[in-house]
Amino acid sequence: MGLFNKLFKNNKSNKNGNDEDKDVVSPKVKENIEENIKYIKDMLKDSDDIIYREIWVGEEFQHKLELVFVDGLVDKSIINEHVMHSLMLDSRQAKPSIEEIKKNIYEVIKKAAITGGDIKEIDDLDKCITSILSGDTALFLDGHPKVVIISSRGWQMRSVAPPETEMVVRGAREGFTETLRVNTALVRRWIRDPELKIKQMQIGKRSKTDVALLYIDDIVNKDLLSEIKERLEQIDIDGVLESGYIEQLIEEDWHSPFPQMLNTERPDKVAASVLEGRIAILIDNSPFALIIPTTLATLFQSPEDYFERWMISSLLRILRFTAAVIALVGPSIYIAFTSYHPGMIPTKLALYIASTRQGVPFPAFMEALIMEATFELLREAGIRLPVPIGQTIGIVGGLIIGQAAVMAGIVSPLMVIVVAVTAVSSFSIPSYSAAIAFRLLRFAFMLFAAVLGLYGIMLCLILMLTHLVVLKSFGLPYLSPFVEVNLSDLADTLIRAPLMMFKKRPAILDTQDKKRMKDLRPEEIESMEIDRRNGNDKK
Amino acid sequence: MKKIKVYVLLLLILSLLTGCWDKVEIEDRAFVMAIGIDTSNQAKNYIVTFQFPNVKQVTSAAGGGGGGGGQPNFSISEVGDTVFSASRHISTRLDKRLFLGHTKAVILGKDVVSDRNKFLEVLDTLDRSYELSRKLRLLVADGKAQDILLKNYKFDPDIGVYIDDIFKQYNRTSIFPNLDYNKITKSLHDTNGNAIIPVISSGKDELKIAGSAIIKNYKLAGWLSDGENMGYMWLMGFVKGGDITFNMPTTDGKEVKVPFNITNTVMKRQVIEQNGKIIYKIKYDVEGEVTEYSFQKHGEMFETNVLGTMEKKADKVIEKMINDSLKKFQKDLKVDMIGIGDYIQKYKPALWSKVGPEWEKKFPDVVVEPVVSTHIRRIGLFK
Amino acid sequence: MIKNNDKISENQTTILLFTTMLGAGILSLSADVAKAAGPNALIVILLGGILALILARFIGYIASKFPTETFVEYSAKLMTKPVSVILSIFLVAYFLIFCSLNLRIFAEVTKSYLLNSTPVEVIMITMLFTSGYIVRYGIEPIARLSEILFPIMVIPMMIIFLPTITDLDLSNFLPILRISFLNLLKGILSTTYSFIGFEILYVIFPYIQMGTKFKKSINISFFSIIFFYIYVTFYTIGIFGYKETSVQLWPLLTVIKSINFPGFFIENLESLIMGIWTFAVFTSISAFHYAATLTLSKLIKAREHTYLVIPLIPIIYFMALIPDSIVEVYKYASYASILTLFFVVILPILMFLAMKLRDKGMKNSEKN
Repeated sequence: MGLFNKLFKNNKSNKNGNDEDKDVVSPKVKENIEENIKYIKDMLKDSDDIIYREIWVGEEFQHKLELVFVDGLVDKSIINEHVMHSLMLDSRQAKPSIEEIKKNIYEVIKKAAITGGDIKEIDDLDKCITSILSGDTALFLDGHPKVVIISSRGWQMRSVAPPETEMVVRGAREGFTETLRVNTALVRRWIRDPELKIKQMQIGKRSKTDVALLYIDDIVNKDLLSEIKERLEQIDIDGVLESGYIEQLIEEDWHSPFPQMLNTERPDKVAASVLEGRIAILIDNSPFALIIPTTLATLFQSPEDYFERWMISSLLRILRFTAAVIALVGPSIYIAFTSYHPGMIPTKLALYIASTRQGVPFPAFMEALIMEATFELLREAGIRLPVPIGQTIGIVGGLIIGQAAVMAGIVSPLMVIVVAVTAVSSFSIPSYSAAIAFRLLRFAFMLFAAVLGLYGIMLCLILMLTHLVVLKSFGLPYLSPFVEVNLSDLADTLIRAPLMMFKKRPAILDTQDKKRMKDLRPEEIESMEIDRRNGNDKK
Repeated sequence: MKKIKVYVLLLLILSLLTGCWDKVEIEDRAFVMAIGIDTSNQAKNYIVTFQFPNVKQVTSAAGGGGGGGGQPNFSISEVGDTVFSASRHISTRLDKRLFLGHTKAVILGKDVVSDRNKFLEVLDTLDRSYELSRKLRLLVADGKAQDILLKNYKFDPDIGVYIDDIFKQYNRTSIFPNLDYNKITKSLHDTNGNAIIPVISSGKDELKIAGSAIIKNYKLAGWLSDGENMGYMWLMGFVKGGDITFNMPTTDGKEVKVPFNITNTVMKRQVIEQNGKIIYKIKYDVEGEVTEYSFQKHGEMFETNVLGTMEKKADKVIEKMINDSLKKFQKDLKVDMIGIGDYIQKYKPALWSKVGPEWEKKFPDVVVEPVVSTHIRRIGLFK
Repeated sequence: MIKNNDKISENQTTILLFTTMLGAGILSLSADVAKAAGPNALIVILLGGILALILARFIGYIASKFPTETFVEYSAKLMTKPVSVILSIFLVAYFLIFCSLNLRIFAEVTKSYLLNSTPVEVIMITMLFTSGYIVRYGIEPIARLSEILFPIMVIPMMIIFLPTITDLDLSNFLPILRISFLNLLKGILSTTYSFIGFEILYVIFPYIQMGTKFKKSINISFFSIIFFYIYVTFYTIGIFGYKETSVQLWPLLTVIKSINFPGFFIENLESLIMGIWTFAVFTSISAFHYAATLTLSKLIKAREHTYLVIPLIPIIYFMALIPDSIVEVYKYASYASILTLFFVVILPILMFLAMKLRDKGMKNSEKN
């Protein structure tokens, strides 16, 4: 702990150092175009993918303009059609008076000449460079201390594809891509509310990654929002490569194996969470959105739960929670039962296990450890290998190694079954990060079971639960609504109650707008039905 | 401070890892399925026999790989001063640790049950054990328990399971009491040493559980034959199945033996005190079916008076059974094992405070009046 | 939502009280009441529970007059500083005694049923450190953990008895109420050990939200635990009869031993119940541990209670080791009941009187 503390302190002192760097004022755009271009060329020297395009416009070509953009990051057609073509050809056909042009060429260009859709002007050269590096085109104009930034972002990107880690049977097939703008657009398509805010900021001293906060302004809890903003602003890192960075940098407890933020590739999940009053963080270059705050119960929710009938969904929920328990304690129960309490196993099964373990040279703990480790290896190998081979490895590895291990007498057949069931269970948890946490803790449970049997498992369970009740995700107890019980919230945990019952947003989130649905009781619907049947329909 | 904590934690974990005090791998245990206890005439008090299956055989029977051959189970006997010490001594001869958590049956030799002190000792051992299940079957052997355990039986070599499975068929016969260890020990505690325990005997290659041993004051007092046992079951209201046979006179003056298959009974009890005499009334409603009559008489059964006669005949048979059994308890053994005292204590506490202290003396004078009304519900496929 | 005031809600108080009371006592409860009251065991539990409830409400009433103070502070106001210090020391000792008793009984039962050759020391130390881990975080996590464990403890215990319904002999509860008043009283007193735990009300008041609704919390938690005890005892005596029950050390486990759960994948249910019971004991131990730590920290005016958690562990541990055998454990437990008598009956009355006197004094001074 001491060591970690030191590391942590060092981090803090680094931060202080960085703060001083920030005080350096970035240069303003000068009137002289040469100076500006020189500055940019200095900053971006040895970057051969930057294109500087000088153009001359005006009757006598007296106005010098310069376009700066990064090759590959820009949509060339925008520059050609809407910038250069407009400036160099089309603008000549428009005839504002010469005087006016001379007076105000900058305004004319900005407002009348460029047919690109999204432009803005800035006067800060460093910001200008960031924009250029983000794929925008900078238009310098001689004699004017402003830069026009034309949004021309358009690079080779993956098209919207099904979310591979979160497949559903029923529900939208769209998943996030690596492009922030596409992702925000995907969420917008779900919620056309003006109150849906997409607040953007840049994180990463060098990577300058765009990070967007998504929330609905009149639902979200403002304390939560400012807390998140504060934590995001405190991040000082050179580069953010994936949302996992952000997740780890703003979470509360880095000792914990449990994810304190939910990550998802599904826009509908983000939309649903935002509607509940949560906040989503989208990051450029990452198809994974973060949802804050997250509780353990939300890790077991799948979008499909809400699309299917509630009984089916409830059954699935229970199934998933059971699966989590199996994934957690499956092998340790096997160890505890066979090595410590054979009295708990049904007689015939006990005899069978004893006979199959005849000649197995390892104690049950080692046996379980070997099989679990083998399985983890297979899983890891399966991810690395190309998809078709990966599947083969899974089947071949699982079947052949399991069978061979049994034949060789290293493990008992029941152990193979236990490991297989555990593995399948761990994959039925919708959240991959949660599944990893359970898989990790499984080894702790096995250790405890190996030393103290069933009592060890119970102790480990208490320790884990203690950790979980202490853990918070942005001030929200991680185990809520199981702790600080609120009945209306419990309706969406172990079971998924009929949609009719979700009239309120989760109380634990303490949102501004608490109501989700108008009161429409089933009785009322029924009485309407009856009225209709009796011909008492009000006309 | 924090560093110290970390070290303490580490030490703790390390010390734990050296632990595993209780770990015994499942294949290193001998799952004792049946225990036999006999007295010994030598210096030691008991001969204890443990019977456990040969687990190598289990796999081969289940069709798995080539498990080891040999006999399907092992029986091992050991002498000891107490049952407990015998089970410990045995570990000097065995490469496995005895595990009693799955024991299905404990068979007491006749001589154990006959000796009050030894029976008490044995019972105490069983009662105090953490491992032994309370669901196990306690039986008395008509001879030595060892003799039963040392044989191989063709239906199921595993004697514990064999016995357990016989008890599961209990509802079909009623000729032995369906009592597990739990109920027997409860009865012993409640009545200060009175209980009945089913009796087991072994044939050439099969087991038989029939009748019961009567324990009075923690000592064997007598036996109940199959029929008497059913009478006892009637008195206790335990009969839920089984069959009786009665003679049915036919129209042509002959008699046919008719089996009556009991499907359900309801018992109602009442105690009346009349002129200083205690009258114990038992009313039975017996439901059942007739499964045989006479091939010749097809069609007769549909006439109600035939059924009526049959019902009356059945009543008589059951009443006789009850009275025979009653005679045994009231006149021969003079011990209340049929729950009359218990009933008075619970439902007539005022009466009990009067007769309770000398119930032993009063019991033989209790007038028991069984009233049976049989209802034949089904008659098979022919009229 | 973002609240970290280290206070527990009304519901949490209810559950915390319940889980604190539900501890090692439940194993032997039915034997004690069966011995004292025979077939009237259930009535005795009900009456004993109501008696305990009244006492708890009384303690709660006094504590609620000082909603921001623990026992250490308000007893000083009521009965002078030196008396308060002595009482507080006794209170700490009291919490520690019951913590260690629970611990010892737990270790003995676990050793008997689950881990025959593991030293009790190991069982106790592991349990204590686990308890220390949560106590360090204060009352909020303890209450939350109780909330989580509550259904895990109670529901299986309720379900496990269902298959025995056909074995139940309701006549075991007859005759009703033919019992001398003295025996009834004795029986009621014998149940008190099972309700020990509500004394934490002396110290937890500053950590409860909505101080005025405490009455409802106390009522609900007592009635639920009375119901739970009656439920368990109903089955135990219903199956065994009171004679058999009264001679057993831990009738609850024995009765579960005799349950045959059809088609269940676990053969001997007592081990399963042992596991669940671990939770019940843990919640009691950690609550007592916390109460002792908190009182002590207030007594020595420590800034935080966290520093005292670890030092108390060896004390509890050695206290738990004092009794030589399981027989002595229960002997000590009966001695400790005398302390209980003082803390739940005599002390509240004394404090009540002191409070009245003080009020009078105040009024008089106001008049003057």
